[in-house]
Amino acid sequence: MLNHKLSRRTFLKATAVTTGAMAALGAEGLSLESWQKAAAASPETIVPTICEMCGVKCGILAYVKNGRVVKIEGNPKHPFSNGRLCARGNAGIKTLYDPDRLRQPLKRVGEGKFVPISWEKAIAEIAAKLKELKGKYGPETLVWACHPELIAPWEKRFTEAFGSPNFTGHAPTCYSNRNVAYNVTYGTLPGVDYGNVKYYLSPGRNITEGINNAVVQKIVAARQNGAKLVALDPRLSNFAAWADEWIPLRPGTDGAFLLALIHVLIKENLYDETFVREKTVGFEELKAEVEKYTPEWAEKITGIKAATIVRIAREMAAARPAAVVDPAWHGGLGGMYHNGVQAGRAAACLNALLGNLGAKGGLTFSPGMNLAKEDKLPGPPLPKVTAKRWDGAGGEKWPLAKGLGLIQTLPEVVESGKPYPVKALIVSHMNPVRSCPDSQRFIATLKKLELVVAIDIQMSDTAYHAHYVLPESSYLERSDPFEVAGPTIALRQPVVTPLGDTKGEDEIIKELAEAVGIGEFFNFSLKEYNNTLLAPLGITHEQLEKEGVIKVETTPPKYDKLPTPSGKIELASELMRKAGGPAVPTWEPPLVQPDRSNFRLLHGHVAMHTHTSTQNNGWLHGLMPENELWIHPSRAKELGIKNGDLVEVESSVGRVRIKARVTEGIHPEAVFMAHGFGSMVPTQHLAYNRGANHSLLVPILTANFSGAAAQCEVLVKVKKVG
Amino acid sequence: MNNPERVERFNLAERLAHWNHAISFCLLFITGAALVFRGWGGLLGPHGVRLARDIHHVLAIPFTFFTLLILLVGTRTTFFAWLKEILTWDKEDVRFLLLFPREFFGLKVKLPEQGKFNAGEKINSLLTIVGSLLMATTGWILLYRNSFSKAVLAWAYPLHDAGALLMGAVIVGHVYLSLLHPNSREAINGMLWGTVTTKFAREHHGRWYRQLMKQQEQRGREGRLTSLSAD
Amino acid sequence: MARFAMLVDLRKCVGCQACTVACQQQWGLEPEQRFTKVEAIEYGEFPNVSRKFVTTQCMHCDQPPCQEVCPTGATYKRADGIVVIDEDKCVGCQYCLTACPYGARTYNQEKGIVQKCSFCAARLATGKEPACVSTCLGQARIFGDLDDPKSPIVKAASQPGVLKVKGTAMMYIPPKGLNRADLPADATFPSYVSTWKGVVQPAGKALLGLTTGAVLLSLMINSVTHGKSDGEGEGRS
Repeated sequence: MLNHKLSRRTFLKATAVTTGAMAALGAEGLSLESWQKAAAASPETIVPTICEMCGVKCGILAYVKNGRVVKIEGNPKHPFSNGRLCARGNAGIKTLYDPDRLRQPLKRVGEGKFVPISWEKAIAEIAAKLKELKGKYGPETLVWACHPELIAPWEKRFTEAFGSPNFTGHAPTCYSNRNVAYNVTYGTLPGVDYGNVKYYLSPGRNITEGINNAVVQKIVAARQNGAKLVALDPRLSNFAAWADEWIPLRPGTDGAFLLALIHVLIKENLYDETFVREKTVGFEELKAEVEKYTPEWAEKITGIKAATIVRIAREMAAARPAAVVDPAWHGGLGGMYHNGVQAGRAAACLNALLGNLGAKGGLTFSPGMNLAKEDKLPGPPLPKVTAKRWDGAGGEKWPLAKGLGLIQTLPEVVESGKPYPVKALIVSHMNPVRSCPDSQRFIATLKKLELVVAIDIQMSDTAYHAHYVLPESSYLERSDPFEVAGPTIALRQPVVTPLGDTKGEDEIIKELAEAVGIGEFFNFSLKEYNNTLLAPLGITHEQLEKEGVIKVETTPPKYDKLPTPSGKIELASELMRKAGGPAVPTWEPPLVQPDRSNFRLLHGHVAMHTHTSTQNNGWLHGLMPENELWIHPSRAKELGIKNGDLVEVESSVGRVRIKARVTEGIHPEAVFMAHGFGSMVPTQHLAYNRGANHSLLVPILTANFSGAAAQCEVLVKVKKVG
Repeated sequence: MNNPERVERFNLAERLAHWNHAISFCLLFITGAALVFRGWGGLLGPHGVRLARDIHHVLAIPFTFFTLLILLVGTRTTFFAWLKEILTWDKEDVRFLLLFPREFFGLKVKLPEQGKFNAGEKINSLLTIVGSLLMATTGWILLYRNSFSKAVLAWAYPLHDAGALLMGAVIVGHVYLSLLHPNSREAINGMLWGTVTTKFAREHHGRWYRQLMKQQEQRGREGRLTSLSAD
Repeated sequence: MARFAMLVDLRKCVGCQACTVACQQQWGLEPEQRFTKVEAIEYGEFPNVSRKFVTTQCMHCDQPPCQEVCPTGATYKRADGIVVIDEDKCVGCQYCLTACPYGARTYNQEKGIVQKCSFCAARLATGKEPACVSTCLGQARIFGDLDDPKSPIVKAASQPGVLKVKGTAMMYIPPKGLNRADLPADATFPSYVSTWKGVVQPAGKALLGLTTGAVLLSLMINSVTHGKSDGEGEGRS
C-alpha cells in the first residue's frame, strides 16, 4: 500500500470504506453475529452410543447441534463410564473431525501413492482377487487380522464362510502369556472385583496409563476405603507413583518375586488351607517346587530385599481373601517376556493360595447372560473349515495357544511359504506394522502379499502399504453389534451422518461377502443380527437406540466346577504337563540379560493416547506430541547424555532417534519409551515422524507355550547424537 | 531568502522530524490513553479499544524510527549541534530556570540572555529524548511480549505508563508555550515555516541571534571577495 | 449470593488428564490452550522415587490482579466469586496474562482473545457441574457453593488435611509426600501491578493535572495582563 502513489481519490475511497467498515463493526445484525446467535439457539439432541477411543468401550452421550457433535460425555447409565470419561474419550470430537481422516476408498498405485476408487469397484476388484487366490492356493491363503472389536463376530464369520481358519487377533502382542497361564490353572481368565480389594498387587500393570476408565474409578474408591496398592514395576509408572508402594524389581523377574511369595505363604502357613484343600489340585507338587524359591534367592534375582518380600507376603495373607494379584494385561507377566507363562502361573497359583476366587475383592468370573447363538441367524449353517491354521495356534506346536494366534510370525510364514502360501491379508482395527515387532520386516511382508486390504478410519502405517484402503465410518458415524457391559447391554449407533464416503464395517463385510459368493451367510442386516441374538433377553435394537444402555437379567457366575480337566484350580496343571511343560510354575530367567554396555528396552502406555491410533488427534497430540527415552541418571552420565538430548537407540534389528528423559524413576538396567509414536505416514500431519517407534527395534520372538511376542526381550545400545 | 524581518531557526528536515514525532506522539498518547483509561472512561466500546490498540501499534514505527532517520539523513550537522547544546549547561541556564516561573505566569521578570535553545527548551529536549527512548523500549517489549521473561514484561507496563504520563505533562507545557503563551508563541512559526521574527530571535535567543549576524556578515564579505576575484 | 469454590483431593488424582481434555472439549479450545493443567513432580533418587500430581487452574482470587489491569473491564469478579471474561469485551491485549501470578490464562490465536477457567459458569447456569468435575475418574474434584450447607463442597472442605490456598477459591487435599511449595502459592498481588495502578497512575495523573492547571492559570493571568497593555508582545531586553 505504501508503494502506490496515494491519489486524492484513493484516499477518499479508503476513508469511506474504512468508516463504513467501522460502522458495520459496531452495528447490530452483522451477519456473523446474528448467525452465531441463531446457531446457539438451535436445539440440541443427545444420542447415547459407545466410545471407540480405546478398547474399553465406555458408554457415552453425544450432544449434537446443527448436525455437528459439540460435546461427548460419559453415559451415567453405562457401568464402565458411570458418566465419566478419560482424556481420550473426551477428545473424540477431534478424531471425528480430523482433517487427515480417510474420506473415500483408495487404491494403491505406487509407494505411498493412492488414487480414489469407488466402493463398487473396490469391492469388485478385491472379491475378484480373493476368488483368484482362493482358486490357486485354497481359502486358507486368506488371513484376517484384527484387534477384536464389536464387529469381530462378523469378521470371524466372513473368514470361516470363505473357508479359511485364519481369523487372527492381536493376543501375542498383548496378553498371550496371561491367558495361557490362567487357562491352564482356572480353565478361563478371571476378572477382579477391583472395587472391594483390600490388598492389590499389580505385576507390571499400569492401570492409570494403560488406562481403563471403569477400573480406575473402582480402584481409586477402594484405596479411599483403605486398600493397599502395591506395584511391581522396573519403572515408576504413574500407577506405581500413585500406589502405596513401588517395588522396583529388575525387569522380567516378576516370576521370581511371586514364587518367593508363594514360598513364604506356604512356609509360614499363611495360605487358605481350606480353600486349597477343597478347590485345588497339585498343592504338594507346588510346595515341593517352591521349596528352593526363598526370599533370599529371590532377592538375588529381583534386587528386592528379602525382608520386603516376606513383608508383602504376610500383608497379602492378612488381607485375604480380598487380596489379589491382578491377572493384568500385557505388563510383567502378560506378554512382555519369554518367561511370562511361568510368571503368570505363579500369579495364578498365588491367587489360589489366597483363596480369593469368587470372594469379595478377589478374582471373579463374569455373570451368565442368556444370549442366542449365531445358529439362530437366518441362512445356511457355516461350512466346516478343514484347513489348519496358518500360525499353528492350537495345533501340535502351540496346543495352548488356541484362540490366541501368533500374528507376529506372519513374516516368517510368508517368507518361508510354510505351512502353506499365505497370499491375502485383510487387516481391521489393527496396525501390525507398529504393533507387531520388527516394523521393517512386517512392511516387507506386506509387499510380498498379493492382496492387502486395510479397513481403518485413518491412514495407519499398515494401510499405507495396502493395495486397497477401505475407510470405515468412525464410531460416531456407525452402528455395530451390541456390547455386553457387565449386567447391561449397550448399543453403538450413528450420531451424525458420515462426513466422507465411508461405511460401517458391517456394510463392508456384507458387500464383500456378496461379491465373493458367500452372501448367503450374511442374509441379515445389523439390526436383524442384534435382534436375533438379543431375543432371549427380551430387548431389541430399536429399544437400545432409544435407551442406549439396558440392564438385563444375568445369572450369577459359578465357582464350584471349573472348566479344567480336574474341575478344580490346577496348581499342578494337566494341560501344561500334556503340552510338555512343567506342571507347576517354575523360575525361568528372562531370555536376554543386559550388561554394562547395553539396556533392556521397555515399552508401555500413556493416559492420553491409545496405541498408535490417537497421535493425530489435535487435543491428545497437544498434550503429548512425542515420546521420550527414559534413562537413569547414572547410566545417562556415563554416556554423556543430558535431559532433552537427542539419542540414538540401536538393537540387532534397527535403530531410532528420540529425545532423552533423564529420570530417577527407572531401573538402571533398562530404558523405556511409550508405545504408539513414530508414525511413518506423511498424510498423518500431526503424528508423522513425531517421536520414535520402538517396534523398529524389537526382534520377532515367540514365548514358550503361549507364542507371546515377548517384546521386552530386546537389548539396545544408546548413544548421544544431538 | 534574505528577509531582514525574519531569520531561519529550523530547516525542513528538522521540522519534518519534529512534526513526525509530535503527531505520532499525540496519537500514541491518545490511543494509549484509551488502553489505560478503560476506553476513555467507557466512551469507547471494545471495538474502539481494539482499533485504538491497532493504531497505537502501527504508530510505534514512525515514532521509533522515522524521527531519528530524518534527523540523521536530512540534517546531521544541526542534529549533533542540538545534542551538544542541550547537554551544555552554565550558570545562566540555571538562573533562567529559577526565574522562568514568573515569566510563565505573566509576571514581570528580566531573564538572562539565551542561546539557540533556552534552558527550558533544553529540559524539554532532554526529557523528550529520554522519554522517547523509554517509551520505545518498553513499548516494543510489550509488543513482542513472547520474547521476554515475565518479570521484564511485567515491569514494562508501569514504566511505559510512567513515561507516557511524564511526557504528557511535558507536552502540555510545550504546546502551551509554543502556541499560546503571548511571549513565546511566535516560536510556532519557527517550527511551521522555519523562520521567526528577528525581534523574537533578538529578544528570546540573543546569543544565537548575534552568532547568526556574525555568520551572515562573514558570508557577505566572502561573497564580495569571490565576486571580485571572478572578474 | 453464592460463594463458589473448588476442592481437589489430590490423593485421588491419578494424573490421567481427563479434566484437561474435558475442559478443552467443553470450551472448544486450541490444543495449546489449557484452562486446567496437570503437573507431575518427581522427588527422590532410585529406588526411593516418588511422583505426585498437582492440578492447577484459575484460582478465582479474592482480589484478582487481572481485573486491575484489564483496559476494557472485560475480566471481572462476579458477586458469586467467579472471575469471568466477557469475550465480547476482550481485545486480546494480554495485560491480564502477565498479571496472573498462576499462569492460568491462555491466549486464543484464532479468536485474538484471552480465555481461562470460569468454573464453567455457563454450565452452572443449566444446573451442571464444571466439566472437569463431571469427568474426573477419581472423583478428586469437588465443586459447589460454600454458602449452601447442602453443597458437597461444604462437607469436603471440613475434612482433615484440607489446605486452603489463601486469597483464592481453591482448596487441595495433598497426598503424603507432596511439598506445600509444589502446590499453588497463597495469593499475592504482583508488585508491578500495585506500583502501576497504585503509584504511577495517580502520580502521573497528578502531574498531568498540575501541569494543565498551571497552563490554565497562566492563560488566565496572561489574558488579563496582556489585555491591560496594548501593542505587540511584551518586550524583554
